[in-house]
Amino acid sequence: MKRLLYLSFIIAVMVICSNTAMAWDLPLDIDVLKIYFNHNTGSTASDGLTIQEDETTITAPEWYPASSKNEESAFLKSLRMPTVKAEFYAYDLWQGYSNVTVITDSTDVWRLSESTVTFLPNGTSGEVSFNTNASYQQPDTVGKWSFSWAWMVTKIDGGSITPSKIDKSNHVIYNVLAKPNAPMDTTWVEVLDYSCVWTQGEDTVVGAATKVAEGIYDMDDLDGDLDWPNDGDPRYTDMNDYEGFDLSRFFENVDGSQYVFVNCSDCANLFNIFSAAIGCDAHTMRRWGAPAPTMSPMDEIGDEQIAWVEVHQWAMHQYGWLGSKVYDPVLKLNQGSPFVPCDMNQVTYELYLISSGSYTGYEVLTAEIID
Amino acid sequence: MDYIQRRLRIVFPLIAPAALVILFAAVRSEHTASASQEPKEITITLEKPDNAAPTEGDMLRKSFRFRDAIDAYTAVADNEESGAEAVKESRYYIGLCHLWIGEYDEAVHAFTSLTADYPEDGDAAGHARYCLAWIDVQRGRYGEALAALNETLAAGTVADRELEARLLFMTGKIHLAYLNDFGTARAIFLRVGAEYPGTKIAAHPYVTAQTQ
Repeated sequence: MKRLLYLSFIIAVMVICSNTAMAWDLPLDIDVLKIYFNHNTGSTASDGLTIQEDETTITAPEWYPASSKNEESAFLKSLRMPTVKAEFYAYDLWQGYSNVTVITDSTDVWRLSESTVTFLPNGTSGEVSFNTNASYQQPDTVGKWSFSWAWMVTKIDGGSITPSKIDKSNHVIYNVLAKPNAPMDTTWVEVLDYSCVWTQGEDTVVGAATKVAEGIYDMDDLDGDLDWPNDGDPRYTDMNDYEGFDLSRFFENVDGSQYVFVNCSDCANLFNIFSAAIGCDAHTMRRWGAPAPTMSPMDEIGDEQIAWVEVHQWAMHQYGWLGSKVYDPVLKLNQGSPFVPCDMNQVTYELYLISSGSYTGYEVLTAEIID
Repeated sequence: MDYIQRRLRIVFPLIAPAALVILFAAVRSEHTASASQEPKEITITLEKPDNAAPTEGDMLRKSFRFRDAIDAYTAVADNEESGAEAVKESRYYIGLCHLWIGEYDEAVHAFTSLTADYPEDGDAAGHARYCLAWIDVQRGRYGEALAALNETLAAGTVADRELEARLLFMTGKIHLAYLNDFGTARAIFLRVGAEYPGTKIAAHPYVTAQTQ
């Protein structure tokens, strides 16, 4: 009986040896499973901001391709060297290695420093922190960037190997001036897609806010521009308080309509929202007077070519307000050449705007997002 | 469990011959000690298995001494007394060593000549084509990699189910990571899970995530 047991064991050993020898080894097989940009939602000191898309907060991991997830992320422009976290999976630890050194390669500006990834016996790594490569820091301006990282293994258990590409990840990031303000405390990606593109490369509040105001004036719907409504009434602003703004419906129309009409209150609230999204402490200023003052010739939003309108009387007007300066994206004034009023002293602005009469009442408002 | 299996794969080829010797010594010792029984001779010829020939190369390769490993494998491949399986396996690992040290042209030559010389061996060709696709990925030739993998799968000559599953999985990975085609990748990973249940690659997070 013992002999049979011995023989059985021997045969089993031989079978196992035979099987293992037949299974030929394959090349390095490591995958990047997840990437975390906003891994600490309680702080913006070393990672991303909390943002939302489709009115849903984006949560880390922002990049999780197995679940078809690839979300945008946003950072303060002052954070030049964010920390990113990633998870890895080693399918085949056949070499008996326990860790690898991983770097990101990219033709774009931002790269990560190398980091050591240690695998558990089941092939997973847990979250691994990557610091930003000091030679390839994040840009120090506002903007939007699309880029790819090629993930490369450069060492195995500390020993250098020919860098081997193990994965590739595509990302969209936004940089903002400062922590976003109300009503964009949790910034919308849909807003950043405009604000950060308009303000690409800007690094000051005035420069960025100016680009936002000009961007709104030149904003496109399906027929190429937003239009002034003949009745002068707002389409997205709540006329009861001049603060409520239906942002979702505005985006739906911009993306799907040829006839998006906006008046001064709409544009003022858009300025408030789009500037606040990138960290400007923006508001709106509402002015009124009786009798209604007569406006100077102006080029209202929506004309494809300069068209000076001379017959307006506006009993009320609302414009953007930032740092006690005027930003008015609903019109262009003419003082030798047409311009969207930006960073203007209020007295000067109204001197240019009004040909006779004056506004006497005012209130400073802050936009609110309504459905 | 995977870890144990991987360790066994490395350790078994090394300890198995010793284990055999020890076990036979034990068997023979028992027979000698048993005076009441008439000794019965059990004869098993301990020939060196043909496929164990590349052991020296394997040890060198797994120590990342790829140049030395190529020399060891070449010695086996060029030795007229080596068995056919040992030669075939050595030629494959010569290619894999070149791959590891980034000598992709040499690796491609080794793998393509292997598939040409052993057209009847679907598994050898499958391993070689997997490696060729891996090199294509390193070179950014994703379309070529996919074409080679799909051609191999379509031929239906790979008998090793685990290997076949990995070939299919790799097409999904290429779509996912390099062609940014989540939809196609997802469909492929679903196929890996559905068509190759029980394989190791079916437990990959990319595959299991599709069914969660």
